[in-house]
Amino acid sequence: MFGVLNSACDWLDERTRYRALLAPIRERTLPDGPRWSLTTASCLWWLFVLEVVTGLLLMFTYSPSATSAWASVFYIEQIPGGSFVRGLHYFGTQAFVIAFAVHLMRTLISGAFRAPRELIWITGVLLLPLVAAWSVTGNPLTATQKAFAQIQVESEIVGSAPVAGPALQRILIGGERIGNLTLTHLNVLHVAILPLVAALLLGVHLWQICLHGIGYQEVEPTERACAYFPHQTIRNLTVFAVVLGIISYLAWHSGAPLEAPAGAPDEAPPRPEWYFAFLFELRRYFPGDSEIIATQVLPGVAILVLLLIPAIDRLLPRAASFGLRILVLLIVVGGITGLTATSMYRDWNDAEFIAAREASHELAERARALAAHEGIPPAGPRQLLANDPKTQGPRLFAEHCATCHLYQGSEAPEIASEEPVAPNLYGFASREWIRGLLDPEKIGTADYFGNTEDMKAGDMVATVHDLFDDLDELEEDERQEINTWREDVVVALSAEADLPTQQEADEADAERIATGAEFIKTGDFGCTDCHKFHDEGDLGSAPDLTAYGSREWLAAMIADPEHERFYPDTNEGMPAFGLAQGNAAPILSEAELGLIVDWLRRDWYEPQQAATESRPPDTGDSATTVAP
Amino acid sequence: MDRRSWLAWCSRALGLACATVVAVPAVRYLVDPLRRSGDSDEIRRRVARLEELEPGEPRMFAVSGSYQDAWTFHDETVLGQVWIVREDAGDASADARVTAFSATCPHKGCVIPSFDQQACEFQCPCHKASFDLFGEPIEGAASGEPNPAPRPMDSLTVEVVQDDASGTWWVEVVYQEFESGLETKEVKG
Repeated sequence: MFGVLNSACDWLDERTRYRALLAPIRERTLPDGPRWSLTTASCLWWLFVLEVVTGLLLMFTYSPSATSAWASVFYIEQIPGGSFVRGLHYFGTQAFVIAFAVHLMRTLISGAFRAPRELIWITGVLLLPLVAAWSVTGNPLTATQKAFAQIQVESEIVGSAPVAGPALQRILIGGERIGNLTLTHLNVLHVAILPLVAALLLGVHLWQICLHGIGYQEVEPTERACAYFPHQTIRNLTVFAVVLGIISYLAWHSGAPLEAPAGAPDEAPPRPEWYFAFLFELRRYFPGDSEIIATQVLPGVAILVLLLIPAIDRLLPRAASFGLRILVLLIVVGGITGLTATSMYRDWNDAEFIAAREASHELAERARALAAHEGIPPAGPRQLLANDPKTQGPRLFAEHCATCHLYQGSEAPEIASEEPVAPNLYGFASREWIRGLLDPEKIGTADYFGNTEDMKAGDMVATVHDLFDDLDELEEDERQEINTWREDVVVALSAEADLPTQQEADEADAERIATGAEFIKTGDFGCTDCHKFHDEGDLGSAPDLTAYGSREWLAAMIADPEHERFYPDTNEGMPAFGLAQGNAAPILSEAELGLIVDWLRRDWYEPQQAATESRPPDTGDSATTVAP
Repeated sequence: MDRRSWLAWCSRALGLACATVVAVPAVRYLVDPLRRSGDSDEIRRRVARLEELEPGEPRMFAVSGSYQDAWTFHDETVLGQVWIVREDAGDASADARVTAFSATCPHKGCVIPSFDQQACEFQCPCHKASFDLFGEPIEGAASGEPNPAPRPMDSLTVEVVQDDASGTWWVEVVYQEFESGLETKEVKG
């Protein structure tokens, strides 16, 4: 096999002379033996290849549009190998940034930029902002909430540049708002324009290395002198294999994060990727108009100083130049480390930020669970959370209902009601809830009619007291009989709601429900004296018990509580949420009403435990991801 | 083996190992469409009311259903077209004789959009495949060009059913997609 390969290579060489071209790289000798410090260049090169390969793979699936970007990334995560490939691309970037910094520092210290190698140095330094731009255009392509927040901020930085800034920003975004054009623009920059520029710079960089060799080759030969291959190669590959191992582990174990799609209800405060945290922190020290110093002047000056290093080096004696370079390095590395640490420390101690980030992780998980369950609607992934009762219910309740109603219970989210004047709706119409309603000790509490003055003094409270107050004074069997009837009524009335959470219990107790329903109609409690229940009793004096707590009942009740079916005379200030107010639209749209009702009834999709375990939880916001 | 060639082999092995770490998941990722091929389910749909059909006059109807297009789930979307032909004289609905063909041409998968009433033939605009009222390929068709059709139009299972509530008679079709270009009719996937 190698014979064939060799003759193929010979054939190619006769025509292209590629061996002579590559000779400076292939047949280099190392005058003082192989070195570990020389491995940074090859590590960068192979990371670059890794990014190109995984990037091309992702392009097979990725679709840059506001309705499909998040969806296609989610789809990549579902394909076998897809999550891993995306993870390699994501963590490969971070490794690249680190390797780039190390390589830059090494060449700065070793004086690799000296004549005739200035162009190698200059092209390398120019690759630095390019890599930053590559990352900035790549991260928002997921079209997550965080991604859009990032590109919003980053485009503002472009926009704050003098003269052409605002126009550039508008062109980059593709208009005033982030959307389809933002994604197509970022995508073409990320996968075509920047790679072309990078290839050009990298081409000059490598061509110059072929031409001039690396500085180390000019060292006086010692007895350790040997050929580059395989002595240095094995070191290069060992380092890259370790780096790849770490990246692969991260890709396999945590994968690249996928936050909630843009447009989700809670916006966690945006943070840049961890390797930009120092710039983020730097902005804090330049408030207002001086911000441009942090975002553009200082980074620009830093690049300029780096570009001028070969010239500065010429002007100074060697020792002074070395000292200066060490000093610059210490300041820059120290500064970046300090700023990064400060930024992270600040976030770690910001309880509000951590809570917001936690909430946004939960939203992300919810969005992914819904996407896996029902697929992504043609209108895009933002519909997933927008139409989800579990996500929207608490928000709508807090906005519209919590001014009066409580929502407190074991599995309830914390929704504060400052001055509750109406019943606690947690578990409304469930057996537990109705049990409390028929309990003389509870019906007068804040959970039920304790805060509604008229209802507290009304017939329902009085009846419950009449019926059940003196049970203790009765004979044991009489008391038991009444309690059995009461429980029958509870079970039967709760079954009217047809709650999804109670489905199994309702099916198991079919007989009891039938008995209880009959008792509500005709039994001694006299329910139908005031209430209507199916074909028994009349509307008007008390709420209809037919289908009490069902989706339709609740929606109709919230839409118009003073309707004949509910509280025509005894409503204490609950607005008609679903009725048009003169010319104005109803307070709640039909969709919002449905979301509140479904949420109150706990009628939403909940993934099976096993299904969510298929993917380990996110490593979290990459702002806090530790460097590999 | 000397140190140099041992190191050379180690380098190659290490390089190969690194390439494998990326290549294996990459291949799994790329061939994923093969894994998802087996989802051409039968779709049973009422596509037309019987009264819409004139005997001997084929009409084209759309068949819709739900469809998962990679990440997008379409609840109700057009999946394909069918030609329905009523063969009997058309009075007694219960005894109506109806045939249905997939409108997808068995030659290269174009949609056969029209029926030439005069020549009494279905003609595919892509490569002039032509078929008679019973879906059989026509030799010496009106166009005078050779007929490239490899097989008759794909007939579909069809049933005339009465709606329980309204009493309307419906034509119900079992829609399927078939591989094009073959001499035999084989279900896609």
